[in-house]
Amino acid sequence: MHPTRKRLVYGIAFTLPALLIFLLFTFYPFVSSLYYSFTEWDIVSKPKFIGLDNYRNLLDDRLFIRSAVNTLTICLFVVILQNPLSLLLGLVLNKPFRSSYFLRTAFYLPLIVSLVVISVTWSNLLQYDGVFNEILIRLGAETIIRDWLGTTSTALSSIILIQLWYGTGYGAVIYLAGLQSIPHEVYESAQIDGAQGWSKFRFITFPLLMPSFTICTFLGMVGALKFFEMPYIMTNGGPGDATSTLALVIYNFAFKNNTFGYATAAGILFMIAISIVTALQLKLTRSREVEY
Amino acid sequence: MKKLVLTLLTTCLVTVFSLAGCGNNEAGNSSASPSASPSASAVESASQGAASESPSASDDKPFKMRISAWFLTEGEGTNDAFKKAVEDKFKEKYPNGSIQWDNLTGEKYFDKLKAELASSSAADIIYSQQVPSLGKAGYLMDLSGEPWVSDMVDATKIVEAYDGKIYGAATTIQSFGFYYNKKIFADLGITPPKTFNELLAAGEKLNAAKITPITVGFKDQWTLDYFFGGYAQLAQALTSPTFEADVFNGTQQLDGPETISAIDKFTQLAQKNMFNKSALSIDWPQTQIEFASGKAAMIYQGPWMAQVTEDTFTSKGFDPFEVGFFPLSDENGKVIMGVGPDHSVSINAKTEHPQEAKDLLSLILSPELIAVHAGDGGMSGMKSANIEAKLPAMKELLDVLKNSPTTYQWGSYYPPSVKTGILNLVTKIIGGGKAGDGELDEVKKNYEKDKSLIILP
Amino acid sequence: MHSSSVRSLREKFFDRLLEIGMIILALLVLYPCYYMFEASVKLPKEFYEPLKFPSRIFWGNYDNVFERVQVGRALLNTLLICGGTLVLLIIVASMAGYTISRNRHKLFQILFVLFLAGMIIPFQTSMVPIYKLAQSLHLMNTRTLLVLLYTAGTIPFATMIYVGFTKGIPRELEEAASIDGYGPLRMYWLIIFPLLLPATGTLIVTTVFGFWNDFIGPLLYLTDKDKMTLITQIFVFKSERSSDWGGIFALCSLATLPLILLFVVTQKYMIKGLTAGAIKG
Repeated sequence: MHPTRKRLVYGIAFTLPALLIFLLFTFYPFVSSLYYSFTEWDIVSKPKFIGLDNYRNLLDDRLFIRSAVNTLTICLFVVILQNPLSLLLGLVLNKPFRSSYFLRTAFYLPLIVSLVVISVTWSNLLQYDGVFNEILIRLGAETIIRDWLGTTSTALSSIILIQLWYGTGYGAVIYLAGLQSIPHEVYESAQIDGAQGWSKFRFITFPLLMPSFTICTFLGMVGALKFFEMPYIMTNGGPGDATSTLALVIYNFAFKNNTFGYATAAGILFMIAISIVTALQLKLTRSREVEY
Repeated sequence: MKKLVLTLLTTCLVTVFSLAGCGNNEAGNSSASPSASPSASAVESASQGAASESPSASDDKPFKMRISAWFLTEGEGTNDAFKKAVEDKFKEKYPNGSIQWDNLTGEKYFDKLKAELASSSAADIIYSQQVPSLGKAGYLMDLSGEPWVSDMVDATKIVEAYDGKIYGAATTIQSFGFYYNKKIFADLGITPPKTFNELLAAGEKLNAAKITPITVGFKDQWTLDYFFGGYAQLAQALTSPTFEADVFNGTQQLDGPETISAIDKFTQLAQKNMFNKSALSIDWPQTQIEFASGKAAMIYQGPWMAQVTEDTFTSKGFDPFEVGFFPLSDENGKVIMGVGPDHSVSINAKTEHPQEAKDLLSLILSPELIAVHAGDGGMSGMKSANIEAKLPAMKELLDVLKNSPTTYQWGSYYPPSVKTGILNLVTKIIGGGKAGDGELDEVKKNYEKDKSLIILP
Repeated sequence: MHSSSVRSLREKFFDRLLEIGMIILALLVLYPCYYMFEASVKLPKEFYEPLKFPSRIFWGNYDNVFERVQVGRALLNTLLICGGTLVLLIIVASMAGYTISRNRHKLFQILFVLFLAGMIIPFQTSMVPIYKLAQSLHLMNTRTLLVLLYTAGTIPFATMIYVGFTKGIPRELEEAASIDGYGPLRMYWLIIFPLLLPATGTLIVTTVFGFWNDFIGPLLYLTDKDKMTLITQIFVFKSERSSDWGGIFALCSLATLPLILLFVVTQKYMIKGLTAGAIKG
């Protein structure tokens, strides 16, 4: 057999197991759900084909639109707040403090804890008679206490803040690694050229950190768009639709409203949205990456 | 480098496996033999064949009956006694049979049930709250010919049937109302409110005394469903006894004065601080504590409330007080009690042990077992199981039921998305949000969209 | 030239201040975790005075939990599922990643894009089709199903890591090996794979926490309580006894402790791994 041919055959053999598992458990369910998105189905009777009706109704559905808005809001905050905070944290953690080991562990720790545990703990902390309000009372700020997760105006912000607490560490570690992979010589030659502080950061450090920035933004956005566990456990989308996210509303369309075809159609739209957003983002940041 | 990784991994694995070694507590694993895999029992039952009339000892192979429910939490109320009674009685009839309880407490159970039914992996005996729609889809066995059908409380027959066929039975039924702390009321000179405005007035006095008027746990949406539903169904029934069917036929409006008045009442309740501040973030079990501890004076709940409060006194060590009952009323003092099945039980149409399942169901619906299951806080769905009301609140409840008109529960004939939409609106108002943003139009749209989900009687 | 070692006293002072500030911040960040542990050893009636320090260490909540929940069993299940997934994943993804990186054929590049595209599919869409699939494969209520699902879901990420790390292995090695008469399979497992151990380590360390902590999978696809994982048990426990906070937090602590230990031990490695994946990906 021709050597390249042989390599091809072996190549296929090597990738086949992964491909099969992937196709069977990820792709196939997805494809069959495409079919369901064009049907009206309450899972209990046979699906009824209704063409594009689900999609039409979705674009008009307040709850769906609200959830999309909430999700984008979360996404925006992650990009605008969490990412820079991670960067800042990464920079600080990079300093040669004696307590570095402790600091890095502390900030990263939230990420290894299960989202269930986190949601349960935070729900308890933010309850009307919980620790958080208790502290506020002790500090004399009694007038601003409220049921944080049960008040329309503060529910979403509370969850976003918890997400910040949770996710900043992850980005920080990625930036930290990126920072540590910049060789000293670069800084030294910059020093020679007279670059200091802010300009050093702007023209040297940050451009070299672009790969990390791309990754952080990408992961952060995808995570924010798929946001599910926290609202599911803490508020189930409430009060009203204040904390409803796309992932959560799709789940509820299916299991709360018994409209599985509708839910699947929403899922497809969801997926399209994620693809567009992330493709744009990757394009934007990848082009700015700098090699050294 | 390789060595480091390997040593790290091995250490981790060793530590973790040694942790797994200790504390392997088998004590909690009750009843059924976990090793009997579904495919094994499928093989046995294939040889048993369908509807064989001779029960018991005809074959020696052990088999397992699965019963799924959402309320059979271990160690709570009469659940353990009930389970044991069922198992014992079943063993008498089928020495080789065993029972596996698939209990998933809470609303997630219904999500799971749907998925299981869709993939033919549901239990043999199924507790649910949507018998007609499951019956319509062909998931349930037709039970019209069963001996206990004549024993069903008449009002429940409609709700357990589809197309004239009976697909389930209600083991317990429920009707909601206000349960209150008699001591607090006496101390503050409050009498059970007879109208909506009297309720608000009572609330004012309670707030002045720093007691929460009504404790609610709307994190569990069903509590809001029934509470809001109380006002809605009252208004609807006053307009027309077949209101929800009328909406279906277009002769009544979903966003008409009935629904609006109910929303308005809730707005008033919220604005006048009748609820606990944590209304939206605590759930049903936590409201039990608020009520039993005396922090709150009233709670709107089902017939189990009196018994649950008694249980909470003992388990949490609160000072007991006498619990009273008064029904929900509108501004004119009108009372109409909503009644419906609470726990409905059916047989999976695809069960591999049809005869055994029928026998098991008959057992469950027998007067003795219903009495065990309902305990002191339940109302039976079967006529012959007469549960004596020992607690004063229960007596008061039964009294009211005898003397008041009844109607079906709110939303029995609305698609879920409509109920969710309205309830979300109410939640928003309670949470301090502003309404009046076209939410009801949205609800109407959803009604049309999901009309096919409605199964009229 | 002294360069970085010459720092003004002022800089040093600010750095010190920053460090102290960071330590305080870190402690605040850790507070919820601390709260969880503290609440698990508090007497039930003290629980409602949140800021009060427990008067004594009360193990009753743990006793309660061990009695009601088969903790050992749940832990075992979690381990089996995590372990099973990791083993399967490493085997299939490393082979695939290696091939994609080495073989220039377009087929494999398309395959790679296919994998990456799969990362976007949210689980909600596939939930019911997976249920039906599991039923027809007789995999309902098995831990095997979870292993397969997790593997499938992580193949994109894992392949990405292996592709990146393979770039760092010189091709000469393979050429030398084939001259020495090694067949492709032997060559892969005896030579390439050992060199990919850093990648494997990275993969394990970055994904194991995800597998350990997943609760929706077991909740949806496992019906037997004695097959459920530790995290799912927390969720079930909370649904059943939601006012037993002491018990809930005890269970949370039990579920988190092994992870914290694992984390502290492998922390440095995790960071290295994340970065390598990030840079080369």
